[in-house]
Amino acid sequence: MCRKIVISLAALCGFMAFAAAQDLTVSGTVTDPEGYPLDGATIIVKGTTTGVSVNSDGRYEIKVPKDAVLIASYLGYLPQEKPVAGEHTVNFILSEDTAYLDDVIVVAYGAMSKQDFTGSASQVSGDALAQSSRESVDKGMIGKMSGVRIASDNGDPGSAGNVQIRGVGSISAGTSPLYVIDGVVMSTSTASDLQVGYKSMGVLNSINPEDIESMTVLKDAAAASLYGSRAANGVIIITTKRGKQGRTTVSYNGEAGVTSMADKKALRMMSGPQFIQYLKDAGDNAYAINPAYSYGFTGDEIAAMTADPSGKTSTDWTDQIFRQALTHNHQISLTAGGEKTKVYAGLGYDKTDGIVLGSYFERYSGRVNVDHQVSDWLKVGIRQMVSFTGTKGHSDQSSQAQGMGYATPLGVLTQSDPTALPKNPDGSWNEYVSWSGQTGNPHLVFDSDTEYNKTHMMRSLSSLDLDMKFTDYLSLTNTFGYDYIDNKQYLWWAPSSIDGASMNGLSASYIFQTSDLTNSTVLRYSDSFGAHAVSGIAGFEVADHRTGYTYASANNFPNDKLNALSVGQVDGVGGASYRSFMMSLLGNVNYDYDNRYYASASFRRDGSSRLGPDSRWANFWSVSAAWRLSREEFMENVSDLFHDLKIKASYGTNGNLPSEYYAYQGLYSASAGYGTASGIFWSNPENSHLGWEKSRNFNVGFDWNLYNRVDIGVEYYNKYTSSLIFNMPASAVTGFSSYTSNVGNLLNDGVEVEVSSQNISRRNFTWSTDFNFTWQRSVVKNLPNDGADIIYGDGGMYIHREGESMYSFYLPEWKGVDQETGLGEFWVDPLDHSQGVTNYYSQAGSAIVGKALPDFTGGMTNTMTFLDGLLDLSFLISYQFGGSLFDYPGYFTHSDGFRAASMNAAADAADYWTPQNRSAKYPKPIMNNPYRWDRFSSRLIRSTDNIRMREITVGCNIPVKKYLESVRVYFRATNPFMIWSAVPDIDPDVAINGYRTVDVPVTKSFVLGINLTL
Amino acid sequence: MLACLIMAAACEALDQAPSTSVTTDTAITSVEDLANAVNGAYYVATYGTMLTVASEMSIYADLVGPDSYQPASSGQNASRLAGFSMTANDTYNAYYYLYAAIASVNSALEKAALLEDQEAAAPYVAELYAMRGLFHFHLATYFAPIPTSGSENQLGLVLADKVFDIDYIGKRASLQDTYDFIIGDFTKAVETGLNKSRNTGHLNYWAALALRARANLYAGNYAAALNDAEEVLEASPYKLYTVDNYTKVWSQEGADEMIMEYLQTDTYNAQRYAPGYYTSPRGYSEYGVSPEFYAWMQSTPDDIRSQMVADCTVAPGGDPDYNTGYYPLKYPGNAGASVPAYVNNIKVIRLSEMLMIAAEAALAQGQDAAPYVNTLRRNRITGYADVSSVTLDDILDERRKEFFAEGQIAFDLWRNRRTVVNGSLSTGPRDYRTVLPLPKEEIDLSKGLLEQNPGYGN
Repeated sequence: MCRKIVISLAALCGFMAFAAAQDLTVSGTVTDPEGYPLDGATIIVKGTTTGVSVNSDGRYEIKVPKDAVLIASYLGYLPQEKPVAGEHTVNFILSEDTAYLDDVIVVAYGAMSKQDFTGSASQVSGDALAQSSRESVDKGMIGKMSGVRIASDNGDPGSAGNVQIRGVGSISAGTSPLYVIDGVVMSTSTASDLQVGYKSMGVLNSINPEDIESMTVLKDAAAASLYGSRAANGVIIITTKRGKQGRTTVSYNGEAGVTSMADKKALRMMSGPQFIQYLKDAGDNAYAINPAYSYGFTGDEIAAMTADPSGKTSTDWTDQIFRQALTHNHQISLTAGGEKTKVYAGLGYDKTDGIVLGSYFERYSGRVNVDHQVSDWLKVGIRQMVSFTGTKGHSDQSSQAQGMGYATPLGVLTQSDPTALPKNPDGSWNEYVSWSGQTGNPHLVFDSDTEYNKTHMMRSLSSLDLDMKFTDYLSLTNTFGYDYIDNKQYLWWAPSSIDGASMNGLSASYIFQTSDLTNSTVLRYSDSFGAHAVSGIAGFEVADHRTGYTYASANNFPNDKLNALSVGQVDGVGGASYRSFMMSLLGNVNYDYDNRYYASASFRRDGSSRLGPDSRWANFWSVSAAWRLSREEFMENVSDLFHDLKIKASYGTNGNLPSEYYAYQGLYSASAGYGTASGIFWSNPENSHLGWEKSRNFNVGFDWNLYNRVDIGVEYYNKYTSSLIFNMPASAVTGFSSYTSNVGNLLNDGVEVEVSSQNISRRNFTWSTDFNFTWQRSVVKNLPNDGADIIYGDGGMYIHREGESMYSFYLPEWKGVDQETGLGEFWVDPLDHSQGVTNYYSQAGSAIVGKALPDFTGGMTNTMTFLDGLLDLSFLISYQFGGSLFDYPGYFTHSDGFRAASMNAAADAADYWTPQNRSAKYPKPIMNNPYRWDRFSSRLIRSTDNIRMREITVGCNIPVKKYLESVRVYFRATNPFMIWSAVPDIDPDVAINGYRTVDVPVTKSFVLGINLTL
Repeated sequence: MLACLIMAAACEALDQAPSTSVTTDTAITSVEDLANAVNGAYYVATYGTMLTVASEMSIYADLVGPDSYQPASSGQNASRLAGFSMTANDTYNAYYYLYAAIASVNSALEKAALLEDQEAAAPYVAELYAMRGLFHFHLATYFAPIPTSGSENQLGLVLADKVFDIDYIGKRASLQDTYDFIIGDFTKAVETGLNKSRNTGHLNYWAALALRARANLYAGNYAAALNDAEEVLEASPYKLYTVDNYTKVWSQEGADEMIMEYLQTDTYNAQRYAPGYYTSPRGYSEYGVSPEFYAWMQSTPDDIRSQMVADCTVAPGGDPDYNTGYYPLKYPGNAGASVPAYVNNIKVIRLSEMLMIAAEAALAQGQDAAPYVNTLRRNRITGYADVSSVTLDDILDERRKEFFAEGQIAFDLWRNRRTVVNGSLSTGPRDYRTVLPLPKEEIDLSKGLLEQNPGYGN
């Protein structure tokens, strides 16, 4: 009712203004090519702001001058112009804009035309993501966007990847971006909210990549500031598939293939004969210094303790632990739409076996998206996703600080005796293959159900959109979202297992639950006056995040057969809950003049329960502007070369919150006890001044389209993060090892280039190239305590130093092997080599010997089609330069004999010094090596420079139009080979901080797939 | 209007409280809370992880002692301690958990002073002082030399006598001041005199007195040490173990002569870092005793203590997971523990030690030490005949027999300026390795204010 009054008023005003010129009533329909009405399309009189909306029947009526020209437009369709020429009926048939995705960009709290967008964002289609990874959307982003880095060295299916947008946004608070799915902020729960860290787990795996229509990464303040306090690390907006009006399609996508270790060199150990020789040398060298080092044994005596000292047996345990694993994936989806209702429904199943024996990832997922036009003014969208994700795997080093889990793939690999055979002569598995005596046969450890870690995650993501249109200019959207995750984790260490033996078995069951309730109400306004167009939003949002867990464990099991908790004796129970709450006000204004000059501003005010009453509210804002030069008259002569050219700049602030829920409160923990009595202890120092981490972001760049064929986007950004939330080290004497405070500044800046080119576009052959390049640096600008260095990480291996990169390695510098003595040498002072060398690790000083973050990263995708689209080929190459990794496994596998009593060594460690091999790469091995050359030093810092073939897809679109809409068969190889790498004996893929763990190395896979569309 | 209501409701929701903690200002408002705070400080000191007083550090003085032997080396902390290979990178836990416990003690002391019922609070306040003394004492034995060792290193501890601001950086007090502080805290505990009854797992009057005797002995205050030991021997409710019960007491809680022990339970224990797992042939097996020690103990079969070392030199059924060797039997598991190797109360001080302290202090002052030694031996050796005089060597040997595997032996030798000789390894009383390096984290943070022990770089 209200709406009608407003419309009538508006119509009246319009009538008054144009009464003099209007002398003809024109009516007609606007439909798509198949005749379906395009409800909500607009008809505008060219050169004026006069216009009407098309009703749900697709009809319109408007009074115009006889010589007027009408323009019909509809989002996702190409606009069409028709002169009235005195006719009373003008019908439009709009064709779909195939470049729709390119032209409309999903942004914070809405969508807008890409040309009007003044911020910085990259968008990738859901198909492109799903093509790269059916498992997880983050892994699908590798190499596809500038400024976005996905890093993981874990090939375990279901493990987490790190996503980093425009550098490292924080030192101690979170660095992962905010995910928004269909307008609802997804649970900010991290893996630590949802599991105990026996092994890496990615929460994002619960989203099926095949349900995704597009993904947009918001990078600068103009794009992301509307998310205020959670936008400092960038925002990733996921839009799921929608039903389309008119066409009903049912499609099936299926694929199957094999996965294996991408590069076996990543984990190659010494052969049997090599190991025997190594033991002899390590033992003798130790015996010569002090027989105690070799437990009083000579080298020969030690070598005789191997399973087969003859040197005739050599087992490659890498092949026993890792395998070729199967993977298959199926998805059935339905897209349909009538006049008022549009539906998308999808059901998917994915099963990926891990390359380590006995491990897998499995997901069942379903999604239904319904959009319904209830009436002229009310539209309802309901979206529901449910997924069940199961994983089974083994402990890894993800929670390990200096040390190695015995029952981890890496632990078993390094401690297996290469002279032992996997099987006994009778065909049973040989139990005694461990050189240290602490591990077991990998088949028995990993493939026998005696020791594993399982997760069952259920996630339900519901959202409701209510769109109320008051007038053509004013509408209100209410979005309600509820994201519920329930993860059950089971741990079983059977009585006979490595880890379970001491407790006579351990079974533990954890239930983690998180829920995120979000409600946002946004009022939208959009109007134009002549060449002036104004739009804006104002809104209010609340977000309620709850998480908690319950666990119970039992030990003393009768045998390996049963692991239900009730079978054992009670061991422990626990449980706790956490909650955070946030409320926000937000708004923005966008203005453009003649699609030529653009200006935008946004504002958000957030209050969070994670901060104290005096500092919990903060404001975040941005301003931005753009100028489309190609619309200027002086550019008309070069309008081909500059088909479109826009320069843009933005500036604004974003924030970041502490990861802890209650960091500002002085606390006594009650989760303690002594004997059977309860206890409380001082667990957190008060810190009521704790505040937001704030970043100031500047972005400048241009978007240039040449000849309507090549798009070039170049941007420079500068992100200065101040009042960093810092886990300041505290003296143990205070009772605390660290405390949270706002100190220090961090600078991230970089240049991003994206080029998208239609190289050849003929009927028989098309070739397009997408290329992206990022130069990036993250520099620590200011540190607390007058800029004192902060040393952190495992054994103090990293340093924060002013002017140096984030994740700088701070370690002694390895000089090499003394060719005369065979001893290893470190520089006493890495910065002053005149101080000479030392053989003792303990006497070597430390310096910055590398950094984890690469300088240059990027990727290139080439896509070709042949024979009118019958065949297609695409391949993605990624590259990175300027970074290093820390080879943690190398610390164990290159111990120069130190660990010879318990571990085998890497194959390349066989090149050690002997009097006959003086130019060897490694020093002479000494059992229990007193010099400790193996300890963390620059020796373990390896370059990650590489160019890698990430993906090759070959497809064939079989022409079967008669029965099916389309049939496509394809073959895809993921990580098939390395094109070039600086350090060939290691896989250069590593986590953001450069700490290589590789229990499950990076994998490669080859799959065959089919897409059928009815 | 609606928006205002939502805003008001939501604003309240911005105050969230944790489910497992209470705010500092509401934590201790009653004597009951104070009792819980006492327990909490023990919980922190004995936190279930590596290198605390409930894990490897409880047998530190044995691992570096003359009879230490590693039947297996799986590269864990016990063999690293035994091999003197601990660097400043490795000692954080040994330092941190005790100071964290002390911080809780100091915080509780502050809040105890505000309680109304001071009379009811007094025994807890006394216990808190004793705890502060004991935790400092532990730290002093790990990170500072024993005053009577003759070490040139005269650096003591950073003394945590109150609640500090979070950015506090302390300087090390002198060795003398450190021991004065420790003895002073025990004295504060003793002077209230309110908690004289047995209280298993807690520091009562007698425990404070017994520990003061030990601290005085370490500091060379022999007269004071003798006085305190005498008082405990004469007036405390504890009784010496006997030949009859000696082999059975190790699994008991609150056994006859146990003055102070740290409680360990199925819920709260150090798991594989516990001494029981290190002394198990199926565990880490990094703390056994040497064959020579075993033979020496067996040479006096009438001494019940000869039964406290096990000959595990033959693996049952040839089991290759069984680490053969000789092991102490003092960690059999608390009675009823679900995992015996994990759950053993940590012996801090018991009545026998009062005899040994008295003997050592008496001898140092030229008095007759034999009666103390005779008393102990009469309760250990079947058919024992008293001796008329004893030497320091006799006392030290007696200690080796009585207290091995209880975290004392190397300290006994260094305290008396003896060299610890273990096979080819010998560590003199002034050797830099008699103390552990302060954690690198602390040294780095202090920017030069905190001095590292000599021999460990800067």
